Amino acid sequence: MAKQQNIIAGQLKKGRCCIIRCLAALILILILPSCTEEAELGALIQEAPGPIVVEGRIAEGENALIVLTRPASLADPENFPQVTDAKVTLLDNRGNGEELLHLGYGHYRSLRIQGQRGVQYSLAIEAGSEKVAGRSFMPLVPVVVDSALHRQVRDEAGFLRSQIALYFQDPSGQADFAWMRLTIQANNRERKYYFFYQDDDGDDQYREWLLPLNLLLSHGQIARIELFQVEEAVFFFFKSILEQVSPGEEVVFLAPPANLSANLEGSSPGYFAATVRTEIVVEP
Amino acid sequence: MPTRILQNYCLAAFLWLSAVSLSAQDNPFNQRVTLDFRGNSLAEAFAKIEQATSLSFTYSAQHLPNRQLALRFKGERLKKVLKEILGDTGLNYTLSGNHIVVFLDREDKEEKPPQFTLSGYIRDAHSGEELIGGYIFIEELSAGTASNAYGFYSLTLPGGQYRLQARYLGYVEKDTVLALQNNRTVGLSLEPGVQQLAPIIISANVSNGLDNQKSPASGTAIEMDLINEMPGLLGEQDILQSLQLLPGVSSSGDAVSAISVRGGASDQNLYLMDEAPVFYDAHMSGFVSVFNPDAVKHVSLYKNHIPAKYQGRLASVIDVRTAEGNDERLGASGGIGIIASRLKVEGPLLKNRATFLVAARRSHLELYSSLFKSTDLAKGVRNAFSFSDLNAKTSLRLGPKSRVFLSGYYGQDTNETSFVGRVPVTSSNTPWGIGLGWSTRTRTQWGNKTLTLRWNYLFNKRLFQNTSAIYHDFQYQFRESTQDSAFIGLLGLRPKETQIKGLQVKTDFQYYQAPGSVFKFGAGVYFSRFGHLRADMPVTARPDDAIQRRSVTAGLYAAHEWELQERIAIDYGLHFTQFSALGTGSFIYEYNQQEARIDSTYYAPGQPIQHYYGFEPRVSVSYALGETQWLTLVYNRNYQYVQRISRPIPDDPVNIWLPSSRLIKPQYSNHWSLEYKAGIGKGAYEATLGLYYKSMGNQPGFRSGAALDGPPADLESLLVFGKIEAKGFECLLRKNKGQFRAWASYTFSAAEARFDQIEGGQPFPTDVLRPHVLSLAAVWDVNDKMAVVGRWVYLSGKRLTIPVGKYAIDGVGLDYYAPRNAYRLEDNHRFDLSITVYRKGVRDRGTSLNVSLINLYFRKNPSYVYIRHGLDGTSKVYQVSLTPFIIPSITYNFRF
Repeated sequence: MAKQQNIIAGQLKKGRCCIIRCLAALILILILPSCTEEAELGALIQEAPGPIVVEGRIAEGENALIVLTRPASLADPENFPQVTDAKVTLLDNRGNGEELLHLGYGHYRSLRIQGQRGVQYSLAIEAGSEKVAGRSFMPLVPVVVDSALHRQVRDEAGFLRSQIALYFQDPSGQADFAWMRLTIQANNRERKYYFFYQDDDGDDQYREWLLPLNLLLSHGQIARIELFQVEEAVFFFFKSILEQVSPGEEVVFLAPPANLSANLEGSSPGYFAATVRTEIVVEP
Repeated sequence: MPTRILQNYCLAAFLWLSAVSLSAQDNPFNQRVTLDFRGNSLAEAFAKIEQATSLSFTYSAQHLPNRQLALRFKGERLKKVLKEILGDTGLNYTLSGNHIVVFLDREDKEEKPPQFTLSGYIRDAHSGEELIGGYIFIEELSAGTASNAYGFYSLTLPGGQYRLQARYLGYVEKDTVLALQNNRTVGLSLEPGVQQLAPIIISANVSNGLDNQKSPASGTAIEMDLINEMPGLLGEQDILQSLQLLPGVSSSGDAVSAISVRGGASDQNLYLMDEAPVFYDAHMSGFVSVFNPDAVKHVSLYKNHIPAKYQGRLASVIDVRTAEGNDERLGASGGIGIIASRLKVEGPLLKNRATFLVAARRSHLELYSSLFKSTDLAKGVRNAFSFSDLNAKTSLRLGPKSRVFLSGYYGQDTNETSFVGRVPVTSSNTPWGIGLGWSTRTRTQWGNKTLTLRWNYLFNKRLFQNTSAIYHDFQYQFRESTQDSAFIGLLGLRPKETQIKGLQVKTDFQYYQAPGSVFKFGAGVYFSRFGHLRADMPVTARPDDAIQRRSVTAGLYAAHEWELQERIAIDYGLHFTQFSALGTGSFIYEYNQQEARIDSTYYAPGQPIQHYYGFEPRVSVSYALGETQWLTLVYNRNYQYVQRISRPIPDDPVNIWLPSSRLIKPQYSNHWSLEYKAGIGKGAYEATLGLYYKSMGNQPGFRSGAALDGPPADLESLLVFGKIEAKGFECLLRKNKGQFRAWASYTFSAAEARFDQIEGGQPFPTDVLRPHVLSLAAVWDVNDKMAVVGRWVYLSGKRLTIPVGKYAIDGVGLDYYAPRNAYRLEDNHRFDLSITVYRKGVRDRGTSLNVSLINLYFRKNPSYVYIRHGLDGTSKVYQVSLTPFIIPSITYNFRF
């Protein structure tokens, strides 16, 4: 008997539960559909030609190469309009100057001027009514990497990873800013890693710079390291790019974003860098 | 030798004291007398003095006023007795031999007739609640005053017979004839009614009354009954969303309670709940404000002229006063809505001495939580959200002159999520060699706590005092825990906390010098602590993971509300503050342009780091153009020593505030406004037109592109400072009386920011700018039991910085952004409707059923946008509408 009562009570309870669910469902039918609705804004955003984007570099012992493009549309992000009708002029503080030659596809190259340490270079770009200017100083003393070593280390989760150690003498008498691009060819794909080295003291010490990777290099894979020694503004420009592309998980505050410009006058994104470039190849 | 000098000094002192004593004895007015004049006329009093002394009186009987004395003296000097009994009769006296000659001081008599003070409290006749901003008007003298924040009024007038009118919005006007022949205390009880019912907003000067249009100060009060009638989102009527109907006030978005006043940011509004600052004003991330309408008695918004007693924000003050509780009888009321229910209990604790009120609100969103399941990631995602708040208040009359109030608020939002997942075994690299199952739980809680202890004391009929001790505390906590099936126990715990605490002690005085002249002065000190902690794994937080700041602000103010002439009224005052940033036993850093630390200094707890001083003159001058037309010119200077430094998301509960420091200079503003007000048809219609200009300095903003992935201690390094200029035009038209009442408000505004480090120093629009804001609303009492309210609001679209293209550096694709705040979302507009049916009638406003329909024509108002990056490198910008469809709701309100 008691069992039957329990069954009946259970049925009543189920019935009540059902009513509550139905009521809740009814309310939700009214409310939930109105929670959010997404709409793509792409069509609403006016397509206006953006400013000239400058990627300018003159490396030690090399001719200057300036690449001029404009921002691509959001819908076709790979198709950057090239600036082919610009007048690009390069000057140095030793009285040399030349108008750069357009090689096509927005690439401009100097024919006479080559990068020299301790020289300041000025870049001037004119395209229609747009004018962009930049100035960069090539570091006097280079960071010379003695050796590079590949190691296998376990990360915090216990996985084996590659780590590359660079050894070099920190140049004395100057603050050093360098960014590094480490490129790995793996499975027909190119993976890039960026690292940054900053030494404000110029303390002339022997240094070990550890470059942790999130993969384990196998035999036959090559890590190509390019070290670009640049001035401070360009250094922080590349650092900002990395922060904008991959903000940390714990970004608490997200400021209104900005277009990145290293050392260019005007509203153009980009940089002009006089740099000392060092290349190292590491094979595990 | 020294002994001799000392003796000489003692002798000299003795001789001097003796001389003074003899002189005092010689003067007959210094003799002490004990006399009882209660019920005596002045002539009888003179006779009694003659009996008690050897002196006689000479006077003319026709000059003696015909009145009875109520005075008694014990051992008082005769000169004090004479001063008291002659008081303000205009009579004076002199001694001639043994005769006291009493004569009429003609000059005085002509210029200063005897003055008496009429004072008391204005109360609700049913509940006994003191009414704030109630207006007393003497028709014969065209003089009046308003009750203060505690319902007290005081008016000093020449003796005579007067017709006294007492008014309060939403109450029946009361006329009383009274004979003023001595100082009188008159309590005025007003009956609730609809005789003066305005739609929702009644411009009533809180401090001095605007009914007689003589006050320059322009606080705007909101009638609580009408807030309850307004269409409420999901059935929740809301004070802050109702404020958004006023000109000059705009919303940060659809269904968001955060407001912007005259181009100011939302953190430039000072929210006070029973004088306690409220640092986070919303539940449910902005859907509902923390102010429970059941507990609120009065809301005042100061956006034009901020009286000198207030300090701390640039844009506005929203002063919310909670009810004391019914003095007459025990009662309860409440409501059951779709997302929350409310209950209020109030009544007398001791008859005519003590009252209490407890009002609580609790959401019941848990009912629906089982249906909030996502199928995206796994079956086991659950999300539970709830909010609750509690207002409690008690008041105790310690005597006719003294009263104590204790009020508190506790509110909390909780959001819990749990997720159960499983990773299949795919790699031999898995350290434990098995598939992993885990469960992650997050718990986010935030809320305010406030406690206010106030003591009112009436020193005399003209001098009112209030002393308050205030505590407030805002806390935000985020906890995440993960349990792993293979590694039993907590894998990670990521606490994130924000805390803002403060303790304030202040005292305010009001001296009612004469009709139309009130002096206000006071002082206070305010200690506050601001903290934010973010800790990654491991559990232990490092010192740099926390921001800890302390400050103390001391302030003094004095103000005078003065009706200078019949046509000119002026309210002028000055608030002076000293702000000190104090150490917390940690390092304070300095940074270079790249946000890198370049220097550090250790400050012990309480050690001063930086002092700032602020002089804040506030002036408002009103000139009467006609009987019901006023022109008011206002100049205010304000300082703000705290700022909200959070993500640019309205009503974000992370809610990090920082006080001024060495890097963060105090914000300041210079605010000018010109306002014209006109009443038409005996107050049936009202029009307000206004212009304002505001320049704000030391405005904090994020450095473009700055993102803090370093320690929170470096938060200040992300800030840059600039100037903002805001200007605008406002107008309001109202029909206040009749079965059909309506209003329309429109604001045109412009605001421009200029920061050296943003946009190359070029001006750019601020993100709170809404150039056009239009609100139309109407209340229609269909019959005695039904009221229908319609509301249409229109706002220009919100300004944003969004990517409009892509560019590449070294092959890395980056978003190309339009200039700061250059993009404007689509305009917001929607129509809301509510129907309220009362069981006993509109006048009673008791048990009722409210049906609200929000967004009647399915407008997809954009609430925010986000960017979605595709794997193919494309980026798309999406806008989200939180309320794209009609939102119906039903609320049952009861009262017994």
